[in-house]
Amino acid sequence: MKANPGGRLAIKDIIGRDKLVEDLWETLSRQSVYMTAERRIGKTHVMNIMCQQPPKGWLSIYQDLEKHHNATDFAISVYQEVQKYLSTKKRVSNQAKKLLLALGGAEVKGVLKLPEKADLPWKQIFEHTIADIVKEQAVEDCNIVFLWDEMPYMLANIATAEGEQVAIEVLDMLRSLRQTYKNFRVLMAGSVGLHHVIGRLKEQGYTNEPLNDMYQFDITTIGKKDAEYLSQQLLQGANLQASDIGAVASMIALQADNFPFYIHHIVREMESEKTQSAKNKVTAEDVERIVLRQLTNENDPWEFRHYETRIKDYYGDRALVVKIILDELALKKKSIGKRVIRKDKTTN
Amino acid sequence: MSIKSTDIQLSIFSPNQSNPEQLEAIFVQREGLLNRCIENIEASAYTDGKHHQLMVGPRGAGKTHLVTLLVHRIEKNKKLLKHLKIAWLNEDETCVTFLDLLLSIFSALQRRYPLEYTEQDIADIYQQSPEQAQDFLASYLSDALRKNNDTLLIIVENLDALFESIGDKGQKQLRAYLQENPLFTLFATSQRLTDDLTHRHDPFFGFFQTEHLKALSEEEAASLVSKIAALSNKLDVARFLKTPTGKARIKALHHLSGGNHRMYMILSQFISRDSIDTLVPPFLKMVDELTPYYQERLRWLPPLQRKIVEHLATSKTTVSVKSIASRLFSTNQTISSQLKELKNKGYVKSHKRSRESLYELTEPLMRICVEVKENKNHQPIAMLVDFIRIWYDRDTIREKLNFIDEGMQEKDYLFSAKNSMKAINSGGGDANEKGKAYLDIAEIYCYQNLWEDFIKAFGLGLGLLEASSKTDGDYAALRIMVDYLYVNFSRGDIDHNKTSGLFDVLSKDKKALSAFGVDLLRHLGWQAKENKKKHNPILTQWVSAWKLAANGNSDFAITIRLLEVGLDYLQSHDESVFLELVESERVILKNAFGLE
Repeated sequence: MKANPGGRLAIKDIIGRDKLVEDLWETLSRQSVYMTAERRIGKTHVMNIMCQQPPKGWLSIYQDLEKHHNATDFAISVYQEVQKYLSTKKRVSNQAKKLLLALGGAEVKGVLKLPEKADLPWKQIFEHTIADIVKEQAVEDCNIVFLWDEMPYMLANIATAEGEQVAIEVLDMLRSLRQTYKNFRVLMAGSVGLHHVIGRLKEQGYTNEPLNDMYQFDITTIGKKDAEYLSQQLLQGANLQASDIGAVASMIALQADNFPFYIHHIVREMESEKTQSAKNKVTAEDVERIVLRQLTNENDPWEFRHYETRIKDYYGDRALVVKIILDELALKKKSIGKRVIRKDKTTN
Repeated sequence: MSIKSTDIQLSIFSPNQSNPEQLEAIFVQREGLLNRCIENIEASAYTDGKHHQLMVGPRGAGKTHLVTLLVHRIEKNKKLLKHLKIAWLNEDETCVTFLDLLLSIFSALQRRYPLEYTEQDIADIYQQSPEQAQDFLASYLSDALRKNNDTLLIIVENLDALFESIGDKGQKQLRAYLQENPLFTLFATSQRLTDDLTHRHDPFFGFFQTEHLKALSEEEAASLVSKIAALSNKLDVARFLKTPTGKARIKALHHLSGGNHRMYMILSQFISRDSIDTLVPPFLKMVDELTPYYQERLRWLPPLQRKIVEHLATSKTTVSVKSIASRLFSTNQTISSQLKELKNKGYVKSHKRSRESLYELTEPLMRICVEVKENKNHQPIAMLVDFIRIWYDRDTIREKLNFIDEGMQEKDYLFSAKNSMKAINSGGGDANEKGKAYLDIAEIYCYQNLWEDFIKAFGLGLGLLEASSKTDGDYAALRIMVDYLYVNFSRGDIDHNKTSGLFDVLSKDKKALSAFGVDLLRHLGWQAKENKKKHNPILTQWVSAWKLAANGNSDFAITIRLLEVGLDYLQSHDESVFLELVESERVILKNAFGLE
């Protein structure tokens, strides 16, 4: 396996997500899900596994939504994806297609030429599309799940282009559909927290709770053993030799906090160093040195500065207090209680 | 601009127009990197994993050279080509939407595979709305790749410019397309890492495997220049580059070019045995040729940014925001934001000194070219180039120093003086030989502290050298004289009148003045090492004496500037004092103190 930080991994190269995927399917059997996690944790890779390897009785459709800037684009893209599945079956009447033909679309050689997108009734198209696929799946007693990546980006785009009201309508419509069809599920994910976008909408008077029927999954890093296994696989893929490859792999996992993206990065750096020198063996010290170099690099290639700048974004005027608390915690070797922090800071 | 000889033509500004085999012949430093890049592309073609790679480096760093070879080597790999298509986008094609980008990819495919991708395939899109055309093209490309089980290698040069022009919307559309269709492997180049690529909230954060292309080291530069010489059948030049003087010349060029590939390609034309001691004229010729190129780059900038760059180019030190703001009658806030943009564009770089940031131009040659344009003459540049050249050539002058190191005896000097007198008294003969003999005699008088005799012999020696074609080696005596002068100065045997008198003699020969300046600086560095970097008050008096003697002479300005900053460093041991100098001078001074 070759180190590939940021790139697309083959399913077999995605390590340490089996249990998470199993839990997600188990939850989806009951309700829809939204996943939250910081960027580059591997949400899209988890969705890729779910798209390519759904359990029996499930159809999963993956879509990256960040490209859509209005609700009509969103509705049409879902319609087009659904058509790919319906066209092979042709067992239920295609209400969405009929609607589009009635709105001025034309069918040429079996392909529907869509009407101009301006002023299309996006809600109706959406509702008909979901109804079509749900009914089709019901014939075989199957469920459908839409894996919608970068949902918050799309909502923010819609709010900017068409106003907050339209974004609110999209969320409400999706909630309504989830409650209408028992075999329809949604798994939403995004690089920006959905709560940020909904918070913005609430500032405009939105009072509904569009996600209260969904289960929230926080995606974290992979387990220690998986991180060590991944490190070892990548070291081998890079043809890097070590006297004790297990020790090097452990150090990579430790230094990267079991974060797969950074594990890939560290091994890639080690590979890059190998090509520039005659040294043919790597050590745990090399790992520490590489990570330290990245931490102190003026250009901050892994953007660690984000962890400081986001404090201001998240906590506004309270950022200074938060920084003091974090500084205090960072200096302690053991976990400490609120009282200790308060006492320390008051004394100082 | 290109390097031409009977059989070769290397385009310096457009390597993709050059013969790839010739580019292979002069490829240095990045063999390992290129192999890794190709391995990643192979992995993308043969597996479901897709690698996206980004090479970052300033103009002239060899990005297009690397891309051209990457494509050349892939084209020779028949097995890989069974699974890989290549779309090498035109460097200057303007894309302002995702649709433009898709069209650009299609055009690149059509150029390379005219039978598989025909204009007829997409003829209908011109009757459609932009959204429909975009959907059609996106599906057309992904369907075609899926049908043939192909992966598409998209090569984008200047990704930073592309991302800027397609904006946030286009970037999101591109990223979504790549995520939904794992059929692509991107290989891109960029002059810098922009916010689009590094900010966590932007679509392409952490998306690419980024490689910052390193500048050439001296050895790599020597290898590049040798390879160019060998390719051009200039075997004498290839041999010359292995000599001590050839190596010194490479060091000087390295200093001036900042390790930039393109600059070496240009400079390689001027390195020849004929120009051993005359780097200045060919260098100035190159500056003249490059000036329009840099002027053009300046013209692209908004007026205030252009003014900032011009100000930095003419400044003798790194400059603070406050200083620029006051010079340009602007506010700190405005200048600060403009500098941030210039930094993003790769024009300037900054250094922290306590709480303030000091700025200077990123490319030493840009500074030189702008300065030429501002000054309308070459004098300050010629001085700098000469100083740098002598600085490195001094490394090659060993004989005299070895003589000193072995411990000099009176009898050696007497023997030397006897030979020198013989040379002077022989009728006729070479003026240069006589000049050198007088300098040898002057050296002995200097050692003996016979001032009047020393000045007389020294003046005669320089006069004779002046009248003939001289080389740096002819000034070797100066280096030893500086040591003796300092010893005599420390004893109080040399006063201001004497240093001024000596300076008057030196200033009649600019080359001697430069060489003397270099020797003063080396002496300061040597003294610093001897005194374990502790400050010695006599050194302050010594530098003051030469500043007084120079009396503002512009030919000695670099020397005085370097000596004064050197003294500051000895007093403070704070490396940030070097920021009082621009980079080309800073490197020399650090070198003198053994900090480089």
